[in-house]
Amino acid sequence: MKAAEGAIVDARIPPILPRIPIQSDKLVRPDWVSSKPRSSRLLWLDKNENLDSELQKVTQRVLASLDPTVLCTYPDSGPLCRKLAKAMTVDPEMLVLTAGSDGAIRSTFEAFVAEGDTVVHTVPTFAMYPVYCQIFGANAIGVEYQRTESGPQLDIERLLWLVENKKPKLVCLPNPDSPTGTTIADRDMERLLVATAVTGSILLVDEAYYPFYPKSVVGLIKYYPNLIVARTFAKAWGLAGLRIGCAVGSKETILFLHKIRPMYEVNTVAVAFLEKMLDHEVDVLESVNRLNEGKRYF
Amino acid sequence: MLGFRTLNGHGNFLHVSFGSYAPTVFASLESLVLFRQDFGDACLAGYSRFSSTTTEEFVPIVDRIRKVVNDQTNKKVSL
Ligand SMILES: Cc1ncc(COP(=O)(O)O)c(C=O)c1O
Repeated sequence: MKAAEGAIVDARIPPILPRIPIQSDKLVRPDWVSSKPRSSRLLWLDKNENLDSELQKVTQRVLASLDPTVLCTYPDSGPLCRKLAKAMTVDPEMLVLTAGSDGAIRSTFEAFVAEGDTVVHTVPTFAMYPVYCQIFGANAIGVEYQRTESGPQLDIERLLWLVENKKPKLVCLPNPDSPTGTTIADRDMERLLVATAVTGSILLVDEAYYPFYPKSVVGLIKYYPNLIVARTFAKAWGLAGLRIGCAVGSKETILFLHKIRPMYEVNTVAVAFLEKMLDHEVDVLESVNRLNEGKRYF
Repeated sequence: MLGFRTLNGHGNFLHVSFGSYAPTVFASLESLVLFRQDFGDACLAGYSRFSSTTTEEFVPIVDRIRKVVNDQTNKKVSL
């Protein structure tokens, strides 16, 4: 083959290689070139978004009220951080804004998981857990949901056994989980919190579906410095495109996530939008009720 | 509502197993709605997943599924 003009052809030049985990052929991401946009003629019920038209009336109004300078200025997320912390009844230091809950999950891996560390996650679960295990070179151990008459069921005893015996660096537990829709009983969550605290494992409870499922462990953070909660505004709040969420944990733990924060962790449009949208929690809860009603109708 | 097995999950989505009606139901919904038809995992095999939406938005979907089921049942009866 003829080399392109100007190309450096020298057998002595070593190949460009990424970190070892990234070299793996097993790490494959969805095709980013030939993806097909979804047809606007169809109803989109494939990605667990919230397309409730009543809520969209509210978000449209908020969007229209934004100062256009949000487009040409860098974000200052302090005021939003403080307002969100107040809404969640936590201290602002206990919170870091992220690009959706996916961003919170990634930051948790980045801050805590070194190559070779053990990470326990459920199977099946949100697609990025196994991907981040690969990206960060973790020794991933999956706990498979069992098929039962009443739907998938998690073997909590196995999960606890793994925590106690493998002493993982990180345990990832969406509650509710996706795609199973299953939740962890309060008693089991407590056992898991205690077990992970004893082994020094981070327990990442992913509450992406809050408040469709209104139970939360945010109130338990004060007892468990190893607990990180991931939240998003993509689901109930109907803001999947805005890419904003947060991680909540003890001040000491969240400080580590701040240390690895990018220059601007979220964009100015998202910050300005969410600051205003937080005043519309009632509209969000009404939307959640409408969607839950629709679910019962089906 | 249509007698199919459903899973009462806690996210903003629901699972339904269309059983032997699955191919016809999938074909009939193709021009109406995008949803996850099936899962490779044993714990959810045979289930389809729809994100939750309002009752008004679900009505035409449920109507279409009902029509498919009725048509197929009538066909079986007349055979
Ligand atoms: C359990 C779970 N966690 C996290 C996410 C990612 O959410 P976000 O869009 O906020 O990144 C999803 C999205 O489907 C999910 O199901």
